[in-house]
Amino acid sequence: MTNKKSRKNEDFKKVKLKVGKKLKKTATTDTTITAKRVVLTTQFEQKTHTEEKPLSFRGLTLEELSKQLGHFNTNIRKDAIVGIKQLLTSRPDLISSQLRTLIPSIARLISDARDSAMNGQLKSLLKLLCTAPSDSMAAHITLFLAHVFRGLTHMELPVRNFALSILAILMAAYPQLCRNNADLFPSFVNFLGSSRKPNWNAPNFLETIVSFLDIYDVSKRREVKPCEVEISFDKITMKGDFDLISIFREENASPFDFPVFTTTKSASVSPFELPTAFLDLSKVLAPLLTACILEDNKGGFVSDACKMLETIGRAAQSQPNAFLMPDFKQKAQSSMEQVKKAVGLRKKGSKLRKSADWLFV
Amino acid sequence: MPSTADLGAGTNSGRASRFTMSERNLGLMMEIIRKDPESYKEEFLEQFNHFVQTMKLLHMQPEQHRMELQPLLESVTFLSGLAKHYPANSKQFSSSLFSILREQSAGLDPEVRMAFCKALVMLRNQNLIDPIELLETFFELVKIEDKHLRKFILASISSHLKRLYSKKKDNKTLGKIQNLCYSKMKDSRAIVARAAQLVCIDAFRKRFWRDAKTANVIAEACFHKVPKIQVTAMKFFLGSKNDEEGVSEDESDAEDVEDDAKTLKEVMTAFRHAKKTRKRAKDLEKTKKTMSKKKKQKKEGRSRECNLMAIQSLYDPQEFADRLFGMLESKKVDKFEVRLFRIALCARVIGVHRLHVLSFYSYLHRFLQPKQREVTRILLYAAQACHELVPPDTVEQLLRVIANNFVSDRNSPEAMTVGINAIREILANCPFAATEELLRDLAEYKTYKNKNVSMSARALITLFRAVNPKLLARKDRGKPQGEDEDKEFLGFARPTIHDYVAGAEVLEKNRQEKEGKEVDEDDSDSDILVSDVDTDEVDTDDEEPVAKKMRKSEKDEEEVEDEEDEFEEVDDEEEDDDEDGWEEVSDNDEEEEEDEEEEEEELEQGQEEEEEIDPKKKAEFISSDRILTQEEFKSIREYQLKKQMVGEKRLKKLMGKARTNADERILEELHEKMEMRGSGDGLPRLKDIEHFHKKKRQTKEERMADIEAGRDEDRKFGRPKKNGDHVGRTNRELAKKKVFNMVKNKTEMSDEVIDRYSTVSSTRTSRTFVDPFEETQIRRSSIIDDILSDLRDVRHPFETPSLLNGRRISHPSTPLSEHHAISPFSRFRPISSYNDGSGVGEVIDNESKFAVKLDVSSYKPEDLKISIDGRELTIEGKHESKNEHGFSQRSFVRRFTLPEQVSLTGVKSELTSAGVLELEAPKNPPQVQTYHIPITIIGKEPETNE
Repeated sequence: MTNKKSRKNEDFKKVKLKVGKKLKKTATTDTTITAKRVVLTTQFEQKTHTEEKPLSFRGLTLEELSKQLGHFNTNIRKDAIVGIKQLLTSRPDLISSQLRTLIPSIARLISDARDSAMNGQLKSLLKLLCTAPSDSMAAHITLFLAHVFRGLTHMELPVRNFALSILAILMAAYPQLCRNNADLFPSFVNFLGSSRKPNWNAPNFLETIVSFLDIYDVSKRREVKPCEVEISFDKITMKGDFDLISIFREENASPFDFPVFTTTKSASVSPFELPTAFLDLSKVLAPLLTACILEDNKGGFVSDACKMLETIGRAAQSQPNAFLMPDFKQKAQSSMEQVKKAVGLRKKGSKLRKSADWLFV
Repeated sequence: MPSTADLGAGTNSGRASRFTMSERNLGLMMEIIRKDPESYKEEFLEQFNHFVQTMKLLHMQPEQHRMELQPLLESVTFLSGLAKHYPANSKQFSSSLFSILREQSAGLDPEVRMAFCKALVMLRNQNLIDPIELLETFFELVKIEDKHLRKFILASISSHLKRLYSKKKDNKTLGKIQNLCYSKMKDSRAIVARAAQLVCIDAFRKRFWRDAKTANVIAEACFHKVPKIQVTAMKFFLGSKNDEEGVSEDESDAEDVEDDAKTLKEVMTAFRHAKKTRKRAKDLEKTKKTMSKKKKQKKEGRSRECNLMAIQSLYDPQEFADRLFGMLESKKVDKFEVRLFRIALCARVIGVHRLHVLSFYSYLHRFLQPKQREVTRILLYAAQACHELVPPDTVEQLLRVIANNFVSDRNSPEAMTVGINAIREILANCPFAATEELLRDLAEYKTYKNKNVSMSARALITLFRAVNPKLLARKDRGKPQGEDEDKEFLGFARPTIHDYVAGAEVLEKNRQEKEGKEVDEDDSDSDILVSDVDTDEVDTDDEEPVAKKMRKSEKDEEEVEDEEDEFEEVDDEEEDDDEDGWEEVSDNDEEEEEDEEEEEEELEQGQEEEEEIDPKKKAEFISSDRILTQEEFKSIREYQLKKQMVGEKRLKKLMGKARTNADERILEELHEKMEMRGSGDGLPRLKDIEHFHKKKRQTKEERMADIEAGRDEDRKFGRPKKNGDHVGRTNRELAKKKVFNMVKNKTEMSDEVIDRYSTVSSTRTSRTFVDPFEETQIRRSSIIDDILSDLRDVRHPFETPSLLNGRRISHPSTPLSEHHAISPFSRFRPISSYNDGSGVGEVIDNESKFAVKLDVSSYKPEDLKISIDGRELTIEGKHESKNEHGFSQRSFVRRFTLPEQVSLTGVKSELTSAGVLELEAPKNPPQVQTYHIPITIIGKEPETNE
């Protein structure tokens, strides 16, 4: 009853006058709009297959596929991988030009590669990516490797193993770029040193290590061209006959990958030439080699072990910066002590014995 | 232990040790590691390495996919929780967090950023990182447009300060942080400066940094280039709006105490475990709301107490006010709200510190128009800015502007009220500015037709009665109050010269003398005390709280007195004088009116008067004679208080019936205001200006009391008291409410029936034979009977009730009559009751015989049946007939109670050919002497019975 009454009187309410307050105008309409965001719905554009924007079998562009790589549904992710692979195989020229979008979206998947079925697809896609020329890859390799290293430290073993396999591919494809990466050596040594690495006889494990060592192998390095430069810090001048470009430039690298300016460490110093880094590596490798020598009954891994031993031996003997650490040789020897013992125990180890010769000096 | 982990991991055998179980559950792993951090170092390092790699990635690419967020958040909590066990790693951890926040904070996901900040706060709480460095980083982070992060940062800084202040008492760090904040207040980036300002304000309010330095730094922010920072600073000094409006939240406090028992958490858990209903959900929302309200109130209360303190601790208030006013006058046009804040703060500072910013008043003139937005506030600020030291001519101009613009007949009554109120407030602060002309003009409005206007004018008059009655017209001055006549009211800046200490007359003339007569004097003193107290108690108890209040106010005033200059003293002196005036009045009254006081008291009064032959002289003598001690001052104060109390009471009595309630309220308000002046900043509030006299809304109790009082008056004029349950109802209506058994007889004995049977009431006894059960049976058949009899009436139109022996006898002894009485038709039908269905019926009952004659012509002899059971003679007839049209049945029953004299064996029956059944029983001669019992019959036509 009262409700009805009040409703009746709504239009004839007495407006209270107050001093200093403005009366609200009753006959106006408030036209202000408050919205948190304005969403413009786009029309469905007709997608056409063009030279710049090719479509996959399913009619998706590369960008869309890259977006789908981040989809939370595994099947869609898998489809996207397949789609990208198909697109790139049909248009291999796209790889180098589209690396900027491809690398972040694909490399991201390394650290959640738990599904073995997807792993295969992903691996083949990454392999495909690695066909890009090294000068175009040079700008992206750091990010790529950062993703791989992150995968290497992942808690779950399958992820680690997968990351290792990707690393092997990368090292095989771009040895020069990998060597220039400052993080590769410490993080790989870290990985080898952790308790959660694969068994020594896991497939491709030793090969990966060998290829890793190959990258830093001193003997394969270009010969050092000495040049004398006199730098006076007082006058800020440099004197001498030199060409900066020739000093820093890599042989096959693009002229824009200029190590002084890039974040990567200069290629001029390999970790093998630093005694501390070398000792770290040998310490980590020693138990691995020991296990390999002692347990490899079939002899399938002998050649890899030999290669490793030889490379390490070469690095140990021709250490240019040995003067930085007193009694470096001794330390190098002692770090490989258990390998020496193992080699001694091995009966038919003539080949091994030969490559481990430097230990028995 | 690492060996097992090694095994499990290396072989990938999936053996379910506890550790491998916890591999994916970082929380569980954290728990395990915390128990033995030494041996699980490797696991920690694994996580840590992963985190480091993630960090490297984040440096390159700060935005992350949403699926990667969760693991990262988990690992951050994991690492920050365990950091204290691995100090070396914790350093690297914190530095990596710092670096990412410094370099990539804007690109990071908000959640991740927040998680990093939380981790850092956790590390800080464990003293693993430098709080100053964290604070620096936080101030950098404030730049990011992330509301939650900003909120978190401010809250974490506040809680850190609290920890430092209350738990650790680390003043050194507090000081460092304080200095950092001060420097950040001068930051070129507005948002950083604002954050620092908020931290400072919060710390000031919560007492962490409640010092003059902080207040002055915040004051400096009033001149910041960004208006928002200015406004925040000004708001800090001004306090809450409620405070300005003078709204107190005392009423709600009482409820709070009750509710405090239940915290929000309790309510929430109660809701979680109870059945979810819509009502409960609603209740929960309600409680949440009230709780947040309470919190807000608490906050406001805190701000109220501190804003005055902040203003008082300004280093150079004069310069501050000048600068503020300079900003007001500058050509830069700010928003009106900002200017209003500036005016408010300017006025507040001027009022609190009693400054001279003379052009401020004339600046206000332009705003003083009734149509001006927020004009009531501007009037309030004008009133706040006026104090005793402002030159009267400046204030006079201001008053004139207000009076011209607001108080004229062309304005609305509301505007007039507001104007007069504002004038009153200004004059209360600086009474010297009042001119006779203006005041008398305004006093004219006391008879204005609008109640609000007239009341505010009266309030002004009341104020000046107290302050300076000479300015009022003679009729407005009120009753002359003795001393006031010759009292001189001081002008502006005229110092008072005290000849004596007021009230010193209560002290003894000579201290030695007092000591000598110690016993007697003490007695008399105590007697005086008693008398005074008694006079208080004669009156109603309502006055006591008032008295207490007054006492408090007086004390407050006296405290203020010490601090403030002599002008304040002038006021106090005046008040004291007023009190004296009241006191004198009271003395006069005592002689005239107060007969109820006891003799004893009068005696003492006499004594008092004896002593007060010339109180002024005595006071002069005493105060010049010696140096008064603290105790003596105390006793003077006590005495004056008592005088004041008595005086007020007398005043009230004096004004008696002539005063209206409204007048009393004005007086009360004046006292309240005086009291308010003593406490707090002593400035007027908005409610004083916007004060409209309204009848106070009565509570239900009050309303009921009023109604009761009115009823008493009714009684006075002799109206009958009518407040029972039955009032306003007819008897018929009332009968409906009664229990059926109570009224049953009444309906049966409706008037006609009573009338009909009144003659045969002597034979009524027979009714007792009919038991209720039978009665109902009869009642059931009665309707059918009635219908049948109606038919028969048509058939035998000549059959009429016969009169026997000139008397109307209908067989009261027969149940037939009974059931006719009950039958609903009985009253409306002609009387044919006793012969229906069986023709003529006669009963002869004389000395010799008892005979019954019944016409049973419509019954066959075999249908009839006569039986005697005890003394009851029953004649029954029942006839059934069937033909092609249907089935008919008729029956009758007659019962007679045979008189005592009839011998049961001598009953004979005959059936004549005419169909009349005759029953005859001879009577024995009566053995007992007959006697007559007179029967009185209650009815309309009482018939005499033989």
